[in-house]
This record gives sequence, C-alpha cells and structure tokens, in this order.
Amino acid sequence: MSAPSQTPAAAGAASNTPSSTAPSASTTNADASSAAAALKPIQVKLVLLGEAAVGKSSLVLRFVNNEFQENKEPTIGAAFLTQKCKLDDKIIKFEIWDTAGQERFHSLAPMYYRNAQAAVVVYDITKAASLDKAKSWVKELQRQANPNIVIALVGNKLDLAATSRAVPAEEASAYATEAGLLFAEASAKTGDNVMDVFTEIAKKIPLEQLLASRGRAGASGASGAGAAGRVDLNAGPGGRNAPQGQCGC
Amino acid sequence: MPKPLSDSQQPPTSSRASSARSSQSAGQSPPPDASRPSDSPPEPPPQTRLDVGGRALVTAITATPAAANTENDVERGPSQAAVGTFGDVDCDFSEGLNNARTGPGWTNRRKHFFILSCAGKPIYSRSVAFLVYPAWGHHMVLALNRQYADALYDLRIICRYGDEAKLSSLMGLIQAIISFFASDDDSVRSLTAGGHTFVFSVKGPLYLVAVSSTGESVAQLRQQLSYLHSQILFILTSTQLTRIFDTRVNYDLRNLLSGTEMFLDQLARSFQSTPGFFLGSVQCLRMPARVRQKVAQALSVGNPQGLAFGMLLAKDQLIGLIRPKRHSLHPADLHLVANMIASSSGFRSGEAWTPVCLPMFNNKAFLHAYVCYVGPDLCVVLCSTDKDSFFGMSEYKAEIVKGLEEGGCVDGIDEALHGVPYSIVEVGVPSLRHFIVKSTPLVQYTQPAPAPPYTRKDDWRRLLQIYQRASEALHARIDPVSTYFYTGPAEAVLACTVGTLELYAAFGPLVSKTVAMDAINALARWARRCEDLLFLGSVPVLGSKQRSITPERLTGPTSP
Repeated sequence: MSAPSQTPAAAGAASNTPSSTAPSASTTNADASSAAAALKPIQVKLVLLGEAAVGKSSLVLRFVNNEFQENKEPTIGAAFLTQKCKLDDKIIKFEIWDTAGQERFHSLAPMYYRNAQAAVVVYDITKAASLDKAKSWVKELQRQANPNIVIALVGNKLDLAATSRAVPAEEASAYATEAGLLFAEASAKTGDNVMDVFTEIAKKIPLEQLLASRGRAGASGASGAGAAGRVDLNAGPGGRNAPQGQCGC
Repeated sequence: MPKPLSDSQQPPTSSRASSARSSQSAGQSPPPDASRPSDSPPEPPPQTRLDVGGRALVTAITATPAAANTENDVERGPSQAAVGTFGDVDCDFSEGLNNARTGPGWTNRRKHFFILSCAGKPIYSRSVAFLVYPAWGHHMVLALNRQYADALYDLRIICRYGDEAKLSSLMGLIQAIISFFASDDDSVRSLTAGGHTFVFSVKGPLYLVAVSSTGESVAQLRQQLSYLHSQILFILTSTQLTRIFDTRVNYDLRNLLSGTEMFLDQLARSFQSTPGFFLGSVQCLRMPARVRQKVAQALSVGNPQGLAFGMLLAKDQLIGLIRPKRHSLHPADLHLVANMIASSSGFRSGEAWTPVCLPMFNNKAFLHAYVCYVGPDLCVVLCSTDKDSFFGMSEYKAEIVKGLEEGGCVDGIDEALHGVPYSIVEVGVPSLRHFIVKSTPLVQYTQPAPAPPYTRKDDWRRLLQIYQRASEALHARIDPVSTYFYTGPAEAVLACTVGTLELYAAFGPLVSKTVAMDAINALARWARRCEDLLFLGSVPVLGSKQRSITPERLTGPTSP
C-alpha cells in the first residue's frame, strides 16, 4: 500500500517513451541513476492555472503518469502531484499544484502560486475565451506572485487543431513574447510537446540560485516550497500562513 | 390478490397455516399456540409489541396509488419489467402505462428536483428515472399535471441546451406558487395533483422543489431536498450563500456551482440506490473488532494541528473515524464527504486539497479536506480547520499508513473489503431474502449483498422503496408503529424495532407473519451476537491521550 504521491517517480521512469522529442531532460527514477544518487533533488513548486475544462489535469497526468482519460471530471479544489526529472546533472523534483479552474476556487489560487517557482497557464486552442482568461491569470501572477516566477503559456488540445482551432498559434505566441512567457502548444491526449513544456521550464528556472537560497531558507524557515516550508507549516501559524480569512472563498 | 395487512390480530386459520409453513420451510418449531404468537416467549420484545398494539401492524400502503392498482401489478408486472433497461437517466419503460401524450422523453422520468433562487433564477434541475412499479405508473392526469408534463418535457431539452426563456417560465411558475402563499405569511409545503406530489422547501435564498410520481411520501421528498440543500452548503457555506444573495438578489448561482453538478447528480441518484439516506445512518465496513481496534490506533497516532475529523473510507463504507472531543460527525455530513469522493475519479490521481463545509458541524465556515487514496478502494480523508495545513495532513496520512501497515491492518482491511458485501447465508435464516440492520445509537447500518432477485436494479429499488416506507412508518411523528408488515406481489417486508436495533427484512410474498417474526427475531439475535463485527462501536477522540479510545459514539441519537 503506497500513496499515489509516492508512485509517480516510478511511473515516470516508464513514461520516457512518448517524449522522444525531449531534448536533454527526461523523467527518470532518481534511485536508478547511480550518478544522481549523490545529488539531492531540487524542489520546484509549480502551479497550473487556467479556465475550467482546458485540460490542466490532463497535462499533469500526461506528465506524471503518462496517462490520458477522456471526459475527466472537473478537479475539486486542487490536486498535488510530484514528478522527478533529470536535467543535465541535476535532479529536479516538481511539486505540482493542479488547481481547479472553476470560478469559486479562484480566491484560493494565491495559496497555490505563492512562492511558486513556475506556473503553467493553460488555455484551450479551440476556445478563444480561454486565452483571455489565461491572460488575466498571467496578469495576476505578474502582479502578485514571486517576481522571478517562470510562466509558461500552453495551448492545449493541439490534436484538435486541424478541425476546430479557434486561437491562431501566432496570436498566442506574439502575446507570450510580449509578456515574457514561455510558449508552446501541446496535446495531453497525444502527449505531443508535453514533456518539452516542463523541460523548458526546468531550463529557465535559476536552479543554482534556488539551491543557494534554499540553504538560507533552511535557517530562516521562511521561503520556498521545500522541506523547510513543510516543517514551518507544521510548526504553527507563521510564514506562509500569514493573513488569511477563515473562509476560503 | 395480496393486500397489505392492517391489523395485528391474525385470523386463526391463516396463522395456523403459516405456522405449519414455517415449520416446513424454516425447520423451526412453531410457537405452542400459533393463534397467539405473543404467548410464546423465546424472543419477547417484538412479539409483545405485536400483541400490545392493536395498531402494531400498520400499513402505509393504502395511502399510495399502489393499492388501488394491484391487479395491474400482477398482470403487467413481469412483461413491463422486462422492457426496461434501467440506466439512471435513460430508461425506457411504462410507455403503455403512462400518458402517451406527454412524450416519450419524460414519462419515464418520475422524479424531478429543481433548485432555484428566490429571484427565480434556475440553479439546478435534475430528473431521476425511477423504478418501475407498474401500478404506480397509472394515474389520473389533471390539468395541472398535463401542463407540468409538457413543461417538463421542454425542460429536459432546455436544461441540456440552455434555453433560458423557457426554463424561466417554469421557474416563474414555481416562484409564483411560493410567493402566493408567502404573501399571506404562509408557506406552501406540498400539494398533490393527480399522481404527482409537489414538495416545496424554502431555505433562505433558495427554493427547492421536488416533483414526484414515485409514491414516496412528502416527508421523504422533503428529506431528500434537505440533503440537496446540505450539498449546496457543503460547496458554498450558508454565510457565502446569504452574502451573495444579499448583495445581488438576481445572482446566477450556477456560476459558482459549475463543476459541482456531479455532486448533486450523484446525490440524487444515491437516494434511489442506497438506504443510508432515508435511514439517516452510515454503512460501516464489516470487520473483526481486533482489526477495528488497530485501525483506530493507527488513526489516532498523533494530533496534528488543525485536524478536525479524520476518516478512512472504502467506497461509501466507513472503516474508521477520529473526531474532536466536543464534536461528533453527523451521518449527513459523512454522506456528503463520501458523495464527493464517489463523484469524481480525480481523487485517485494524487493528493487533493479542497474546501468543504460540513453543514451539520458548522454551516458557516469551511473546513479543508485532504483526500488521498492509499489503496485501490481505500481513501483517507482528513478535514482541517487550517487552509495551509496541506503538508501537515499529508504527513499525518503517511503516519496513518505506516500505523496501518505496522498494525497489520492492511491485510485485515483487504480481507474485510473482499469479504464485503457478505452473503445472507451467513445469518442462517433461510426464509430471509434480504435485510438491513440499523443500530440506532451508533447511527450505522449493515446489509448483506443483494442476492437475486435484488441484483436487478429495478427490483432493488422497489425493495428500497418498501424499506423506505417502513422506515417512515416506524419513525412517523404522529402515531409511529413498532412493527410494520407489508406484503406485495413480489415480496413481503417486515420491519420492527428491537431494543436499539432497527430491523428491516424481506421475505417471499407468501410468508406468514409468524415465520417472518421468527426470522426477524433470529436476525436480531444474530446482529447482537455480531455487533462488534458489524458496527464501529467507539470512535477515538483527537487530542486525548495517545492511543486511548473512549467509548464515545459516532453521534448521539439526539441529533436530528
């Protein structure tokens, strides 16, 4: 009996196949790699945001478990998953918060993007309105999240591009360049580009800086989504628990 | 023609015949004087009851259209039943019985729930295909009924395709009916038109309406509406709901509820398929007391900050529970949690963290629920008062899992899960077809796996409906009965209260009351003997000394 959150690393090892395109990073089982065994994984907090039903959970499931489910039910609240990736000589452990897109959960979002090093803002290339929502998420992130956050704009459902595309790739790409975001179109259904998105994010995150700051954070217990943050949460209402109302919405 | 029995005094002839039958079929010795079963003392409580009340055996059946149409029942029963495929939403039966003019679409939808705001905005609408008890399909269609039927037929399309104009005319009608009474400082509770019962419930800014031709009573429908209302509070809290409508009376609540239709749908479906709702109790996984003890220990290994309730569930069955000192978990709240988990497969893909409101615990604020599957069907739910305590809960879950493994409960639970649903054979009462035993103080119930004929969905629903009516008769506010006996064309059902146990048992249609009483007494003895196995007797309290288990109950019988 093992918690699902502990299994992804193993599942990830099996999931190398679909992303033959992935250039230098690949998901791998940390224990299997002897070179990596010496390295401590670098924890990266990543949050997925976007309108309801654009495929956030599907992208994560493709990335973590290499699965795809048709007609998935909406996510309730938020789901937490982890996945380890190897980038060059480092191991990155993505701690992924897959948030629900429904309006009523919007007010909870800060809890998830606070202290996140990366955000994936997803829209649906067959629904023009979903790009507008994505833009508003980007704005909110740029205003309120960690200033160094790496944001990727991802147009999902690329498999439907031929039949029902509503957002031209150029338009979204131009916006992404202008706003300083990573950009990709992907399909959780076929697996196209999914790995690449996470690889690009991993490359862009200032890992060295993160490692250095984590050393400090360990002392102060203030920042990051790493182990220090967890201990802190247990210890009591300080740090991240700051000023929040009783009511979640 | 089977007629419901409405008198406790059995005619001597029939009881002699029945006692003879009982000795043949059950192999049990008949009471010495069969004409007065109460004189035979082996298991006093139910029989004295049987004797005491001239009102002891009472039936509610005559109040429903069923009794009037029992001939139809017998004649058409099998052929009608053979027609349908009983999906929850789409089924195709009783066309011949129902008024054809109302269209093929809705006639087979027998129950409808509407939720609208006080400003008349639609919030939720759901039709539930109901069981085919052909007798209930035949009814007089009054003018109102006919209009309603047409409107509903439209509605089904509207709900799917979103024709607001048409939907709002029906909502307007409901609003008008409610306001008409409200203007006289009165409130409309229910009305009956032909075969349809309309039940209205005004809960703050929400109007809830049930329309049914299923033969369910007003009280039952009202209870279901109350569950639906709780489900909305579960999602939003009453504070938020009130605030929204205070600031914007014409707010379209569907914006906030989007993505949760599945909760309400699942709930509306569950009313027809599980007895837990009308019994107001939860089903507990049957497992040895030894394993239960270990599970309780594993659940109470620590006292993480913020934890309010913790539970271990297997599907909708409760395995273990921890609760704070001064609070107990109401079964209705537990139903809502289980309903949430059953509604979405998304919980299986990782650890989930979501705000939930347990209305019976506190309808004004959210708790934050940590949900994680730790086995194929085994789910840990930890409700915390702190919205930032996800990692704390996650760690606690790891401790629980460790505790379960160390205590060797994993195999025990697995075994229990595979052994459940258990077979009716274990009880050793041959005349029994199915039963439910509810422990009133523990608000838990147990039932064996449905054996044929109740493996068929429609038969099962029919049985549940009879149980439901029996439960209502036992708990009627006015003139409750202590023993309820019903015979129909397909089965006989006997329900009674024995001490703290509530027993519902199904027999073949030709069973005599004596045989049934004997069987139910045997059942009661069995349930008492196996009480530790069947029910979760004590719930560990959070924050008390570690690993100490107090004999507190899941929740007191005083709660509504």
